[in-house]
Amino acid sequence: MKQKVVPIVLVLSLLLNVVVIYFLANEPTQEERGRHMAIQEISFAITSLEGCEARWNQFDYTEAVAHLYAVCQHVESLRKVEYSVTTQPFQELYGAAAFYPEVVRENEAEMIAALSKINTEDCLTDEEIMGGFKAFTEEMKIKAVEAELNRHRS
Amino acid sequence: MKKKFLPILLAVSLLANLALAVMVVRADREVQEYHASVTLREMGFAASFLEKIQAGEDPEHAEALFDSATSFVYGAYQASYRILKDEFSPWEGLLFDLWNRMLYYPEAVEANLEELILAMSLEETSQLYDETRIQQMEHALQSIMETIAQMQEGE
Repeated sequence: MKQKVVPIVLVLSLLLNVVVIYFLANEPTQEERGRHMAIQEISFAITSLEGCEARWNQFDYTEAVAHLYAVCQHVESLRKVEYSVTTQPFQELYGAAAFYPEVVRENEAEMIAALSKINTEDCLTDEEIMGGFKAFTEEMKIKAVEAELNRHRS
Repeated sequence: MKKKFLPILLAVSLLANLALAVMVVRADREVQEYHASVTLREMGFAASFLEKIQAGEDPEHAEALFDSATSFVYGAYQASYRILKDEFSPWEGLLFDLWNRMLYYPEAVEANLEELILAMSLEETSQLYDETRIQQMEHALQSIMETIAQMQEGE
């Protein structure tokens, strides 16, 4: 009896191992989910900004800022899983959008174009695209600082 | 030889099953705890900004403070969405509703700040699963809805 049971249980146990490993391998990882959600939020932000570009309104703008903030959060969660993308460019863009709406308003088309380049999950790991995006956000930051200085001067 | 080998293999396989189960549960718990803590952090940020508005601090920038709180609520909603993966988390729906109301009816939200701040001020991630805290937030949202209805009647 025991001689028959042991091989059967062994086969079942090995099968269970295979099934669990299969599901683990096919389940989207936190990194994949984070990347997917970051891209989703970027596209939401673009849609809201396009609404503002067509006709400036506070609702769309506040919504765009919230989406940009969510992008920062998802990218931050990627960093937790040792992802190479830095949160800095996204944080700078969010900061400029949240605190200097007039700067964004003057550069809306460029902002939409910069965000539109990050249109797939792979773009987040593409050094060229991310390098261009970082350069854009630094430019926005400089413009925001200039706007702040002009405000103080006037 | 075969008789000895099979039970050993079986024991190893069962151990592997156990190890896999522990690994899955631990990884899942760690991820859930991370997103729950982000939800709590974002709600805390939003509550502290709303507190500043309530206290009348920096009235010149009250609108900017409210907009920032709106972003934080959206951040909390996004994190709560990821707590339970594809399963429904009550906070996901509640925070999304709150974000919408902050976006479209800021006056109604401001009229219910005290109740809202209280509902949003959670200290531990375990409170996210506390039925009383969930009901507290539902009630705050209900109050906001009533204010919106009153405002619309007035118009």
